[in-house]
Amino acid sequence: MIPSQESSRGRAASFAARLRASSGVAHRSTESLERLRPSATSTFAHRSIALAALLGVSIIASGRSEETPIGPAKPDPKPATAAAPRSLREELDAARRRHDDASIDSVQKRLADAVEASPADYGLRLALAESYVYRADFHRLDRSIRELESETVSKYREEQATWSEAGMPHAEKALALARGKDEQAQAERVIGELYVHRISGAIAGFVNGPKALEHIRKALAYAPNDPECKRAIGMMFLYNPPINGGNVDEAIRTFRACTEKRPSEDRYQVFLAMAFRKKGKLLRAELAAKKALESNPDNSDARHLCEVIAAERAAEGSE
Amino acid sequence: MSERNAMRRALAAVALQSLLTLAIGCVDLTPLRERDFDRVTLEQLEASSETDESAVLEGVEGLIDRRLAEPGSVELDLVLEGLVALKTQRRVEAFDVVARCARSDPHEDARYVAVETLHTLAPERARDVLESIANTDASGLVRGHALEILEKKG
Repeated sequence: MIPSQESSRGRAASFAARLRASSGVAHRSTESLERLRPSATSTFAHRSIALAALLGVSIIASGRSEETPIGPAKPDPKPATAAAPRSLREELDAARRRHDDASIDSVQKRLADAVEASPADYGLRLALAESYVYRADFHRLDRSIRELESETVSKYREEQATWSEAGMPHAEKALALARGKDEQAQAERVIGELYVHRISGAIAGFVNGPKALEHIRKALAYAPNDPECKRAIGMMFLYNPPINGGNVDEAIRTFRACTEKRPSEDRYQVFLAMAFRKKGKLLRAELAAKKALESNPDNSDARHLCEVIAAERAAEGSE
Repeated sequence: MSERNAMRRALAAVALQSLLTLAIGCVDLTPLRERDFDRVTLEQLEASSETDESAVLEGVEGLIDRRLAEPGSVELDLVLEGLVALKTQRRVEAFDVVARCARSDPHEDARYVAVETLHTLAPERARDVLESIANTDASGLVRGHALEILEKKG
């Protein structure tokens, strides 16, 4: 390692430690978050990118100032109607469980109408923002486990970034409307996940990776035991390259904690299977993928993973 | 002379670096050898897949045995890694303890991995156990896996 990298990593680690100390979080996943801080290649490059990002955010923010109040929750003249989005939320989650993008698109449109009618409804805002995360997640998952043409991969990356842009104002509004730590945690998580989907390459990674991490870290500080917040950080451990904090062992630990908390959540088992597969533990990966399929026979990703892993095990003579 | 010394120093530095790399890559398997199960870690069990040393593999058997004898005494993850190590090393001597694990471990993950390990260790001998598990195990996943192995075997 060259000296400038060492010193930059040292600074990043101490910055992470200060953040952890200030937030008072002493959680296993969050303890290892500092590994997710991007390693510096050049201080100058970082500063330039950060400046460009700041300018970019200012320009974007100026174009949607009414839509995106950023900051702590403020009392709203119109109270949130938490029960209102229940059926739409259920429909959205059901579509997500089926990996049914067309249905999510349909629910998304109705959610957008509902948000227009009740702009100060936290639940609706969050559900709408999350619908964009779900669609982007589908693309990322497809890119990870399926053989795709390079054109399709590029198209998916672009769509992920577009959906991230579309969902962000609603996530930020949800954060402004959030009451209590649980609601704040979910809004922070969704913002973080939307930043993740803006990462379409190395430079976008340097700009958006730390932002994603910052918001997911805040979410974990609000709700350290929430499995969805843990899943969000687990996905960073899983997908990030090691130089940017990717750590497959940490991903396995995190997803295992999620599955222990919610054993019937097939999505957690799918991510656990992916992490075991990445680690080369195909028998464990197969077991997790089968559990996902057992919990949700409609999960086409789990089905596909089972097939892929079975073929890999047959080719390798298993673990 | 000075060139020769410089060459020697460079070679010594390379050798030292190689030794350090080896030392870092090594995992101390003493707790398994000495059956000091409270000190056994996941990394040690992962590393035990790569050794055919009898004392280490006996330690792995002992770890699984301890979990069966004292429920809750050994974490699930450790047992799963242990089973994979026995499977990888084809430790036939472990057949009995693996069979007990396949039949009676409280967690379906352990039974699932044990079923597969058992078949790898001794396919013919495992047949009766697998048939029984395929008919009676409480978990559909474990039953299905045992059946799948039996069908593949014909």
